[in-house]
Amino acid sequence: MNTIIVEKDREVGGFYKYDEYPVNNVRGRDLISQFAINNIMCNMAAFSYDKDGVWVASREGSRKIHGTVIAANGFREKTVLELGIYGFRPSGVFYLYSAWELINKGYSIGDKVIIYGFNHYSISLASKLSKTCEKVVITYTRGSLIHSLEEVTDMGVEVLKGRVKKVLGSERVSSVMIDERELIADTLILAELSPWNQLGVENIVGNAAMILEDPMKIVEASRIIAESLIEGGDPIEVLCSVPHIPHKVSKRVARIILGVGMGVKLKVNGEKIVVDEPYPVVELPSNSRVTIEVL
Amino acid sequence: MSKIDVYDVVIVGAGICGLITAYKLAHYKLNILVIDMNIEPGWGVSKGHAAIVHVIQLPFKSLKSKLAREGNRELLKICEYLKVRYRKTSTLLLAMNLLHLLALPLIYLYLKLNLKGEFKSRIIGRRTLRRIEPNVSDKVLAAIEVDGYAVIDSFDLIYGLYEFLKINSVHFVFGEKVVRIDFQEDFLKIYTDGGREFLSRYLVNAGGLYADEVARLLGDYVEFELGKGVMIVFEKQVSDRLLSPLTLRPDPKTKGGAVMFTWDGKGLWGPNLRIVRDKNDLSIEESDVNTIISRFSKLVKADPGIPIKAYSGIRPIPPINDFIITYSKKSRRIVNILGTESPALTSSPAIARVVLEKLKEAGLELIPREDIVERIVFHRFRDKPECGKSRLICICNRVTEEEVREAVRRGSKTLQGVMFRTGVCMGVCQGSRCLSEVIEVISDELRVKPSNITLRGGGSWIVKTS
Repeated sequence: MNTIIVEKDREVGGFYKYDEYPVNNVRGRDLISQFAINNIMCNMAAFSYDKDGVWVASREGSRKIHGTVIAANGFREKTVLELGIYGFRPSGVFYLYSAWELINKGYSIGDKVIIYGFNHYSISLASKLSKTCEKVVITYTRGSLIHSLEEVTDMGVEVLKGRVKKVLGSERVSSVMIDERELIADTLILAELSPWNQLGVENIVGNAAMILEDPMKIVEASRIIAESLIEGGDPIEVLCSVPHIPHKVSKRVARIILGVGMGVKLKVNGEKIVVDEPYPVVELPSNSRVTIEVL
Repeated sequence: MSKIDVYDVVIVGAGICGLITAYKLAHYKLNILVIDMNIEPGWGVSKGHAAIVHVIQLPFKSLKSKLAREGNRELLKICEYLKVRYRKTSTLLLAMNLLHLLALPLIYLYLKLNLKGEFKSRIIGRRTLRRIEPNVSDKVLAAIEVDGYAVIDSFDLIYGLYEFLKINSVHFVFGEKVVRIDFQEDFLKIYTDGGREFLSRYLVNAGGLYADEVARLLGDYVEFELGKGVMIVFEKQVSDRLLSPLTLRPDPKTKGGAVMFTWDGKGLWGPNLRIVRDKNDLSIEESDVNTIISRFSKLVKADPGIPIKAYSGIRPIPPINDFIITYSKKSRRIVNILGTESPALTSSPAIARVVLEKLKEAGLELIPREDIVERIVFHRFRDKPECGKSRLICICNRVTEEEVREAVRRGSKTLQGVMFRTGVCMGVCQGSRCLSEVIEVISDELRVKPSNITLRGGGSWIVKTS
């Protein structure tokens, strides 16, 4: 099989390239460095997709690459409007990934930082910021499926449950309203995440398909998709009310990953299961249609 | 004593009205200076509107209505000359209830009579409407279509004008406010808060939201009501025409907003109108967004996708609800352009025509120049992506590293300037993926540290060097 990886950035790895915060003792950075893959084209960006391939742009000129396309373009952060954040639009409001890149390039993005969103990615960022910033606060409405509040407070990061409602400041952020409380800050990082199928591609992996906080589970999800494409065969239609990846899986592979935490009770085609790990890999019966209910 | 620069015309304000006036004056043998309090052109009223070239402005007998109809086609000609992108479209005035439906023929006749065949209009029945705009709500009973509208890349128009003026020897002073104007025998002496002094034979006050303050320096008086309008940008455009609910009792202060789109295919809904007191208060309230969503979501049944952002603008509304283009009471060497709210963008070429006539009448000699130089076209990847030969820096809006560099070479010194010039950091991800690189490219091109790059000048720093 002739495979090519197209990467917009100068290097591969995305978020995990600099991720030092472990999940089950696995660090994203170490994982990325272990991959030895050929046929990677960096500085090449996919910009449009249709059924027989993808258009890419690079210094060598735009061209179309024909073949089956898999999107692995990662998550996006929810916008201020999606989050219901109003007020002013000063400098100092960053989306998670841009803050992440700036920090990893060695810049400081502020002294008093509020991070909105509690997930592996925001926590990994907070762990880096906590070493240099005067104050780091994570505010959130929904917790992480894999990390605990204690882990975060142990790093010296404050945790505050609540909704960011308003940004104040004319030139730079001066404070942030979290519910009825006003917190002095010079930086707000928006880290509520959403999957993002940017080009509308049929096959999607990783955070582009579902928010996955565990790097090994991202690897597993990619393996499921790859096996499905290699094995071929009839697809299983999965009817499921919770996030799952892949959206379509071959009967010969017959397993998916669900975006739920430990202890959740499920019914898979009527059969009860208690989930014993976050982001469980669920074996599917080889029916052409599988219904998964969360109890 | 240092030498004071002497000009034929000084224009206060580098918004659309000031720049188009300068554009017209630059075609004559004149020494022109434009002064703006912001650090880049078009950062006042001109950055907060919807970038729509209008046709209908009520009441039809008002100056702003006449000048909008006059300026409409000329503005598009200027866009073509400067290679500024635009898309022609029409507006559908949607009849939402039985009363609207009954009034429709009368409104149609009224429009037809007043648009005098210059801009065509027609009644569109329900079935045709479904066919031409399948995403319009099923509740819409019929519509009047009015031709002659356009959506333009208004940032590129501003910067295109600026670049044209620079290349044709018009001088600019940015980031300084005019604080005093003295009348001398044949000249006006103009002082800025940056400590500079200029002499000019004529002065045009195109200060936009601050034109009242400039007028006061001249001994003229006008008071603006400040009308804040919020616009919401969505991921997707849902119609090929601008969709506006029919209003039987039009508000003289606003056309009521519409479901619109940008030249690059994003949805653009709004504006609302809210009277505020502070010229600097561009904050957005939850109620602004809710008002717009509830007013306009009724008009369409398709999902406009991710709400990307909301922005606001403040319009200077004079008591007569109309443009005021007059000589200063003190001297005919000064022309005030006041109350340049919507549709000032559309009207700007006609406003400039009136200003030039007044200057000429007051004695300014207009001798045509033969040596006009055209703007150097700014080539964009997204105009012809399949023929691109560059590395993309922003995937959402398909902007290349080369375009970011070119924006800096053309004069942008801030992140906001580069964003406006290129569209970088203005797509769905709002710079999540490209901000860090954009800052480094700007700093590399300007040969300053990234910590010296600001969002929009002053204290709007982005990063510190740790």
